Amino acid sequence: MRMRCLADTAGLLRHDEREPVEVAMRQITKRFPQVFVAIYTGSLGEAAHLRRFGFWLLNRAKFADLPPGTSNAAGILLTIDPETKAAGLSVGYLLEPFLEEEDTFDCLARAHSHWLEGRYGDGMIKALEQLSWILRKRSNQAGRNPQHFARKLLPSASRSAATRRRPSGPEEVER
Amino acid sequence: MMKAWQGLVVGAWLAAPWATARNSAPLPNWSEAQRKAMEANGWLAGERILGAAADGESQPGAAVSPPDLGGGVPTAGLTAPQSPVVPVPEKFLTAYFDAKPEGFLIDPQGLLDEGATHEQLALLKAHAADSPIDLYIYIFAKDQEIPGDVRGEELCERCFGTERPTLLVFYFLGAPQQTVLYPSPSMPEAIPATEQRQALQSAIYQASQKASPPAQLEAFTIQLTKRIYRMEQMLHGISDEADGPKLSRARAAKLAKSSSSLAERWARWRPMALDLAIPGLLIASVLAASVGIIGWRRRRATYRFPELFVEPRLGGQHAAGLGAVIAFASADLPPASQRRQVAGYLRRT
Repeated sequence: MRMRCLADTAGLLRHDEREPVEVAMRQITKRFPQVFVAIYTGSLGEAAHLRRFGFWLLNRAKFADLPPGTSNAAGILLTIDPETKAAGLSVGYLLEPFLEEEDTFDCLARAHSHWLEGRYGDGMIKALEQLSWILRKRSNQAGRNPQHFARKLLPSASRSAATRRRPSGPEEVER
Repeated sequence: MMKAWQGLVVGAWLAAPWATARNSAPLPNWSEAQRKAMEANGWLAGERILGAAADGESQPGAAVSPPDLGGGVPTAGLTAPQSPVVPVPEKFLTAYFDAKPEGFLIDPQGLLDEGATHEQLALLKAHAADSPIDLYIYIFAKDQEIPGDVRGEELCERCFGTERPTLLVFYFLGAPQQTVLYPSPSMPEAIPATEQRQALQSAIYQASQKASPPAQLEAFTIQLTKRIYRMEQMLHGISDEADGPKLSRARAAKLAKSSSSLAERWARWRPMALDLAIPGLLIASVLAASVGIIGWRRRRATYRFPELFVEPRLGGQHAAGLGAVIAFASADLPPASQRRQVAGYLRRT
């Protein structure tokens, strides 16, 4: 499925709103060269689930305006359904260790008041600003302590073993 | 030849004044009770003009003799107020003019009765309590003349020269139009003479509206005190203006003092300031440059994430659907309560 990074199929953005939103999207890519942002607006119908749709779209879409070889795993997809008045933020595998579900909620919460008033463009820009702030913070944390994020990817059993401290006592000293 | 109707018109025109005179209303007459009441108050309206007619000699039907307007040929002095003819008795001159009076009402001849004196004194005392301009009223009879060697200006300077602003009034009972007003030496500087003249004229006018001399005096005093209140306002304005330069001078002196102390301080600190100026400027510019460079670098900085291997889940090649979903259907609910929880099957195990 081919689409552009900004696919406003629901027609939520006015002509003069598209450019600022695209600038905000480019800023993310400029500051975080491994990452890109895609936005999709459209009615999904009652049967569709927004999170499942994000999951599906991020795996299946081919973004036409991305450099060749860019993996969708580096994508951040913002989906807005104006009919059910819901929005979702999905991230690829690249950012999965670094972003919590809470972080993505914070981004959407920043846009909430704007979307309530129907100002979708402003809401998108606010959400992307918050996303940029969180990504910068996580990037700095990952640069300082990458093991912290790597440990989150381990299965729970391995994680508990890795975090368990070896007992230190007289026996070990004797050995 | 004159026609008959023309003759009738000319005859009617010639007879008109005669008919008017016959039909005009008779002159007013005082009844005996009214006359006695007015005479008791010491003043009879129209007495001077009507002369004998006002004295009751004119009876209805009697021949009206022309009023005696002073006799002789009319002169330019006819419209001027009639001057008093009797000098103030010598025995009262000391009480009037020798020293500063003790009360605000000076009536050694006892021209006012006790009640009127009491009321007038109360009025003047009340005025003196409220006003910074005192008012002294000297009472004379309407036909009295102030001796030539007594001058109001001299009296003011002698008795009220060092006092606060004062107005002296020579009031002729029953003849308010003869009243003379003398301001004390402190007054002319503060209050324009025109204002004093207008105050006097206004008070005389109010007095002339009353019939009896005591009522005239009361009306005169009340109106004069009102006009004095206007003078007070002018005095306040002038004193405020006079205080203004004083205040500004004090403020200027204070500023000069503080500025001189600042100058002294600057002179004391100047060598040290000059010594520290160049290093301080250098440090400040280095700090500003550092802040600018840091900001510029932060704006241009790029951030990278370590590429960690994430095991694909749910058959997703690039993503597993992690992320929040929010509803913005209701403005009444906060975003947190419109948050849709992550489905369990999408959570990383």
